Amino acid sequence: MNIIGISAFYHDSAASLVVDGEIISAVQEERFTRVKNDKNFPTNSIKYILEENNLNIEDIDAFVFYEKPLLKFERLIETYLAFSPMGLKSFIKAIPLWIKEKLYQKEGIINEIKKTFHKKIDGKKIFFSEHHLSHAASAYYPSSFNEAIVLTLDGVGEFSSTVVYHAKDNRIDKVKELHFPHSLGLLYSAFTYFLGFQVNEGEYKVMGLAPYGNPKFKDLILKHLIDVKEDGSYQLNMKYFNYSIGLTMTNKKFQDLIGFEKREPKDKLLQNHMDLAASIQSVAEDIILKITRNLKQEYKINNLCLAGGVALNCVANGKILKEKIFENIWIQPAAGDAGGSLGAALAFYYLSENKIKEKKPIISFTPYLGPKFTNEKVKIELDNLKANYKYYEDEELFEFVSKKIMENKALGWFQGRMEFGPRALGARSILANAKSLDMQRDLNLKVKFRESFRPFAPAIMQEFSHSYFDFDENFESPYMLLVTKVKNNKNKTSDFVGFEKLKNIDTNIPAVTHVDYTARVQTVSKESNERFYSLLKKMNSEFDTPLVVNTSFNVNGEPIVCSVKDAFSCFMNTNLDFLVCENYILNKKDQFQ
Amino acid sequence: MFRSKIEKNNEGIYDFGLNNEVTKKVNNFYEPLPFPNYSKDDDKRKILDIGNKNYLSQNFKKFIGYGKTVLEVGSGTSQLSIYLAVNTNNKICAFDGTYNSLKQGKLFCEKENIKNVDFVRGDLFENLFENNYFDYIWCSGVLHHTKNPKKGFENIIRFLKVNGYVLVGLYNRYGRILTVLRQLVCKLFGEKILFFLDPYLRLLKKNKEKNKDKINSWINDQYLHPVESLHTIDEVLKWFKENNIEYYTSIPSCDFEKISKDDEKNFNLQDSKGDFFLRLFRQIQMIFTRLGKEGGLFIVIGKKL
Repeated sequence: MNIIGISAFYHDSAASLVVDGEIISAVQEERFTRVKNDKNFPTNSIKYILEENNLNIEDIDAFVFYEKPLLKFERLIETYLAFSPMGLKSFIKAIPLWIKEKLYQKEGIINEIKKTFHKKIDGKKIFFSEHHLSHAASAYYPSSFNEAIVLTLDGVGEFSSTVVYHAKDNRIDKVKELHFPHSLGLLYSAFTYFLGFQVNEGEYKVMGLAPYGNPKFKDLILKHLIDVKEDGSYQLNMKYFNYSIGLTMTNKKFQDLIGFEKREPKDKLLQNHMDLAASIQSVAEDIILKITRNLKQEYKINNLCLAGGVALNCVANGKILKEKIFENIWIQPAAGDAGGSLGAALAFYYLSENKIKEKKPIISFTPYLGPKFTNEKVKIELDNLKANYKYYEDEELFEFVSKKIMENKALGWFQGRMEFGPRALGARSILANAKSLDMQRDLNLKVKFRESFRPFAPAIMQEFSHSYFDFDENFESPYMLLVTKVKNNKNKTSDFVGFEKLKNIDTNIPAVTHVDYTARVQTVSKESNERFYSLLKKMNSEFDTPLVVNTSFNVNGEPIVCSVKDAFSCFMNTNLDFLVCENYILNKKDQFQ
Repeated sequence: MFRSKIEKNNEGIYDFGLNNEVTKKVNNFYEPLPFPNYSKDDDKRKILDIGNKNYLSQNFKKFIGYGKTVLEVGSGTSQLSIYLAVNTNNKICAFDGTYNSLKQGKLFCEKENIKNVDFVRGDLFENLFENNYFDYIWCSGVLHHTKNPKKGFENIIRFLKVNGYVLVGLYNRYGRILTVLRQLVCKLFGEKILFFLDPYLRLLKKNKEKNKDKINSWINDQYLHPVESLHTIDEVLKWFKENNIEYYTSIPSCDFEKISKDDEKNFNLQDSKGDFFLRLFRQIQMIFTRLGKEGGLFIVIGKKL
């Protein structure tokens, strides 16, 4: 059975292919259109999926959309009615769009497919999953657990914002939920907005900013903005928020409460902003810990699966791990709405009657589900681009690359199938020396063209992770979704505040150590990514360094590169020294001859 | 690249000289005040920022991609050529009749270590380049200042490869009406009145000292130019037809579905050229839009078949 899961029309549109329960392909539309968080129907993604797997559109048995638009519309109407006459402006703006596009999504999907593939598909082939169920399925089925608690934390789906599922033997049963407008995701997004970052995009910047500040607004938040119960359930004080009825996230009362003006994107980041980021991060962590502790206590199940946008908060994830609340945790790397496409397809397959109550099979999950370019294809593309390149056999390639990394060169690493989800995991990555003192600043300013405070993450050989980081031996973090302490640090205390803290980092891997002596770690094993592992192995044998800086292969504001052309363009427009496309290496200096 | 062998002179410029009288007249007009000029603190990054802020140059650069040969006809101080060259492996040829302007561009490239721009001084009516050599030709704001724009177009199009693209920018017969009227008023009452009538000059006037050069150049270019002609999209379409060029897109767009999206022009998609009445309407409409206020320049892009 061939199933295509689709997420679209809000943000992060994507398509995934599941064949007889196996995950075959998954890709985000932004990678093809080059429009960050593209929300349009994933035409290019579906095209890629069909071409890659030699399928025609008629070969697809089901197209499953990741949420139910009618339920969402019902929530919209209910919300406007509840708050009326406030919100009229936003209502007038939203309703025509809903009536024109979103209410008739079935027809919309049929038309989009017809437009691209010139074939009209049967309406009976189109199905709709539920938003949080899609998230839950994306986390439960690819995990290795037969029984698990699945926690989905998101902005909002149809009605729910936080949902707890009990999953066993392929069944996923909802056991608890919290409803819109009370949402941890939207609370975090409201602060993201107030701090001058883009909602649905800048949340991880808030998380990265938090360690520069002190949580001095935490009490204020807990006293006025959110009422958190002992079991982790919560209620927002909607007096301070505008997202239910308006076109902004927060209102004047929110600003008055915080005591300073909303930051505009171009404004300088001040200590107050850092303190506010630290405060909301701390509140979010407390809530997530309370929820997970309570779930463990109540259900006494050892396995936890996480998904939904909030599950990308790797600092909070790291705290769940550190407190050892659950024995095992599995987090979907495409935890945001893009991953909903995968979950929708999986839910459709496994929740159909004949699959329920069977013991869940172990699906071998890999995040490398996107396009791949063979050496032959790479050469053709590079020739079309008139690039100057040199071919290296594997062994000499790993040797050359590891040497250049240790010489503090930054390079684009383009290998194998592209990752699904927001993290670059060694297929479309920028790599650099983790031991360099200046690399964090240089990469941010000269390569990524982004804020200098943003931390970088390490990718490390699995077997060495416990030597460098506070992980148990054999613990795996293959998707870069967990933050943990860096070992052997001097943990110097100082009077430095704000961005000055960057000067205080004193570890042997400063480029990947954040100012609070933590790191967002990717462990790499031979099984998870053989080529990347081989490179790290070479770095270890030659330079006693089993880790590198691994950051996404893009510049600020652009999607991660997908094709050879994208990689070349990014390489040419940044201060990257080398580009490694499969077995071809390009030296920047040779390109202008 | 060239039809005949020529070496760079000691200032790094291929200088073919000028023979035509009208070209010399235009050259003499530009020679004293090269525009836009470079300031001491200008660098690669600044040129990139300026180019990236202009949707036309930014999208054209994306459209070109990499590994291509590009001719900019009438490059002046060659800021566009340099923008198209920076961070690419394209080979750009900045071609102009004004030696002093080219020299400014060359000096900037030397300072910034930009190696993929060649500077060529010559007359666009002469047959200087190899036929079918360039992948892209950019010729905007130039032909309407020549003695015979159509002939000029026919000459440069020879240098374009089959399947290559040409961008032509000309003053529009309808879109430039207000500027033409202001030219008449300027002749009667003097230049000062332009500071009240011209919206761009009104803007520049706010910081008169800083914008001194820009003001002079704008007045020279828009109101005092010795040679100027006006054209229509249909006229360019006729040139295209006679020279085996297929219409690709235009600004203003004449594709009914895209007429509201001129500022989001994506050169990766071919447009419909619309019908005569839509094209006429779109050109008259220029009078009231940004295009008219900025001198009434229209753009047509074509592909050589």
